[in-house]
Amino acid sequence: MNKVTVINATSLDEAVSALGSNSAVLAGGTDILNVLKAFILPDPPDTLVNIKTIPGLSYIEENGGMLKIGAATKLADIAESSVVNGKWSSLAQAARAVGSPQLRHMGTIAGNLVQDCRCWYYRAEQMGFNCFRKGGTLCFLTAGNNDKHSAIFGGQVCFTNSVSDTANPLVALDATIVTTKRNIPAGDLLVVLGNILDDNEIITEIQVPEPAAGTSQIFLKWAERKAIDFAEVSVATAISSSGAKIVLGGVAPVPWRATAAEAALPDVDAAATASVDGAFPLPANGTGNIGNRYKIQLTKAMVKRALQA
Amino acid sequence: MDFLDFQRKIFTPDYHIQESTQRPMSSPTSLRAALEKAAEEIDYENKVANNGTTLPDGRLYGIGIHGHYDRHGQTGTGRGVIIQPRRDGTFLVLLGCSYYHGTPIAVCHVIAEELGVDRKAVQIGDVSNPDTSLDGGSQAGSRAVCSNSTAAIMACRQIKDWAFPWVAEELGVPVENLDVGDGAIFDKTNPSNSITWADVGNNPDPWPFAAVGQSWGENLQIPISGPMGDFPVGARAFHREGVAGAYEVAVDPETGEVEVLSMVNVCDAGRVLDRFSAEGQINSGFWVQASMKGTHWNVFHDPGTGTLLSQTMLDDKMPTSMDLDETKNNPQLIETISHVGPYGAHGIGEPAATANSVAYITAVGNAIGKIIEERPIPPRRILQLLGKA
Repeated sequence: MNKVTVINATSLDEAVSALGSNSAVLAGGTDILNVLKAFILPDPPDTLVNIKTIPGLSYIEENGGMLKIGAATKLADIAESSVVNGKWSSLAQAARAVGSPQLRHMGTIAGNLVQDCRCWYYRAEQMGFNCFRKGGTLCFLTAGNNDKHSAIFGGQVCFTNSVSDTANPLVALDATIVTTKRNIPAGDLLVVLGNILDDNEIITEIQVPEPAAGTSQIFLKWAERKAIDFAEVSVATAISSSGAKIVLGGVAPVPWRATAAEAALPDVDAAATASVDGAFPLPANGTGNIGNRYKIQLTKAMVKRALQA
Repeated sequence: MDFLDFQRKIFTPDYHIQESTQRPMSSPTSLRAALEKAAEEIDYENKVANNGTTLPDGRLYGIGIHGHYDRHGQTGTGRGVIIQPRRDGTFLVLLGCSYYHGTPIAVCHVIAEELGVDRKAVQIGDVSNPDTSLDGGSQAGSRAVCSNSTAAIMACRQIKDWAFPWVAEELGVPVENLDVGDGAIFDKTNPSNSITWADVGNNPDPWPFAAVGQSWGENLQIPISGPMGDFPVGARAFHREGVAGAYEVAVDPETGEVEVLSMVNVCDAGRVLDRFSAEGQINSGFWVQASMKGTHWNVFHDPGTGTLLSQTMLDDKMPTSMDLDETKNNPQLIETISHVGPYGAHGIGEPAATANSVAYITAVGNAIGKIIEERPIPPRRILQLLGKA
């Protein structure tokens, strides 16, 4: 890990002013420190702005039917919160599905939302594979080993998959991401190559409206390993008489709305089948690589189980 | 003929099966014992007809069994031990295996037992390089304990052969009356009549540079340097061990996920010296093989450049306790008494890992109705075999 300067900010203003093009926010540190220690980036940040030292960024409260979660709130606190487990249970389920107890007691909700992708080409040390995300011109998943960390929807220049568990229920529950500059609908925060935050923009709060009466919601995650693993496929649902949202994780570079499946409801089998409409699996390339077609089957199975739960 | 019968008749034909009292025990006898124990523990013969049936929750049931000889560590695992007696009554040991693990310590215990001294009087040489050892270094593990201990026992005999005549003369008793214990050589008919190993340092005879013991694994040329049990000098010996594993699994045909319903792992330990440790060996063997080789694809390469992609423990997945329920493992030990291992024991470290994966994959194959000729078989591969990916 290269030498970095850590600035312990005492206020959001101080943190914002300290942030620039060659710096990054440090909160739980479970992702950014990994990125730095693994020498992933060709031009890594030389300054980390620690926001854990800013008072008042960790809280969970219900206010006028709105769930408000401080950006630096730990995932473990969200998973165990009686408030979250009440009306926003799918978010609690997603927080509980992250990593391991140790990671959940370090990682924060905002960090989980904007964490970097896990593509093994991107994460290859330094410039081993100069992919799009590093400023190159190629996504190595398309011609390389794409068994894992790859998308079957929405890939454009980059075909990796989103890895945030909490992003999916937040999208399904119409959450808003509050930053030092603006309010962003949860579904707009993440884009193919990362997120839309400016260099000196910090998430301060997550706001989740109270679901309509009678809303059923669930978060299901399927990973090869039951702990300390990222989703191959995850499903978050929020279904009520006024509408349905089915959001898939692990299958696209961003949380993916399965709109065809939503439209096929209440027929569960039809919705499961429709959940993979438009899927574009990556092919097998070379010995031992089987491609990611299996995600189509996994997606159908997980959507069906989520709808039957 | 089902798979169990196949293994009985092909691997362990009746004409190779000995009576349990016959020594040395043959490999097929050991393997047959392990197989039968595994079959009995998992109730294989009553359950095998259920292969491929659908469980009430929609998953597919499979049961598999496999046994084989573990000969891991045999080829080229000749062992040598050099013991240098010191005039202060301690002993310096150099042995033919890597010094970075517990094997040398175990061998020191054997030497201490053989020479009747405290363990602390037996010291490992600080030549921490296996290349300096008698056979150029060898594998580490329980097999090394077995072979090196045998060599150590032979070297200890040489030391006794050198020391006892002088001690017998000093004590005024026949050599046959002598034994060792409590750091001394004593007269068995009058134990208080003794000479300590430190006093042996006064022996005016030429001081031996070292005592050398050798033993060997199958296929190795180094001859045994002294008779051992039923094995004469130059006799062919081998560290055979029958191991068997049996699994019951439920395969989710929608996700390819496999749940192990029950499993049994049987190892012929020769003689069990420490049941807790021995079962621990089996459990760790099961963990390595059933998980990493059975379920998790732990090495990924870029097909174009050969670059290793699974460079971290995220992609080289060691299963967690949530993935493998160790409480479902049923480790079983059988004892057929080895005549080349110390106290009848022989190694069980790796054997537990070997039969396991085959039994696991056989069970999965029986559940989904496919012959599986590869490993590991992660869920995505099972979906592919089922035609769903």
